[in-house]
Amino acid sequence: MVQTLDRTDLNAVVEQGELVLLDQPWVTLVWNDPVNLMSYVSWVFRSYFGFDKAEADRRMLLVHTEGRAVVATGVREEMERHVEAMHDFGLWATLQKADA
Amino acid sequence: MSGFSRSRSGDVTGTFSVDEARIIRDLAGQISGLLTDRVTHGSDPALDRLLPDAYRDNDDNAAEFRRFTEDDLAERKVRNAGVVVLSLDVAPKRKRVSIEVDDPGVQSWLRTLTDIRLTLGSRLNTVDEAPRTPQDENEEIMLSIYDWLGYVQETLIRAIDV
Repeated sequence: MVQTLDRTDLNAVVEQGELVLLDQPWVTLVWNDPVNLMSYVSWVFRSYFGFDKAEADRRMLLVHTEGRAVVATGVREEMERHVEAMHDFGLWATLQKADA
Repeated sequence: MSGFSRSRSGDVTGTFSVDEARIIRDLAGQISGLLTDRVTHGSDPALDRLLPDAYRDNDDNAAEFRRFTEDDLAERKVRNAGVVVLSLDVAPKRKRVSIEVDDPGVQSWLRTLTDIRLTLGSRLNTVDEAPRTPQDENEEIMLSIYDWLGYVQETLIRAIDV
């Protein structure tokens, strides 16, 4: 026998907005630009995202060589906050669905 | 030597010639004016770079994001430029301007130097990292200021990167 799901609990979960499993995550991308210094981009990645030096440098070099790098993954609202913060630093950042 | 350094006590200090200080103050003021007097999005490549689209392939999302964030973002940039202008507003000693910059000041300086360089880069049509040949005297001046401010920013990053 399987117990019937308690509807109240289910509603509570939905209301808390935790059903993101079915949704595609979003990513924050930082794009290469010809102006910003490599040392500055790396510093921004460390000071804002909390990456250690090696990880910050790795992602900065990805931006430099590949033209872009993913710097964060998560829900859309969070990625929007990151993008706005990057624009505040003067970095060129966008967000999109992870599979796009 | 102009630029920033960290003293033994940990303070970040900047030293500039009177002319250098005036140039930075003028340019920071211009950034402030550019952002304050901005009109519609899409009419100035420099502004589009200072306040870029948050979505690349979705104009509706980009416009909505802009509606909710652009004014605040521009206001913060204007405030940062104001901090830079104010910090340079000191009497020079022996033709040098020497300033001490606290932690929030460093944040403003880094961002404003970036915003100035983004704007100069946009005006100069910078598309790659390679040094470009100036087309006239005005471009030559802009280009040397652009490079010099990159150096100043580098000294500031080195001063705080301990």
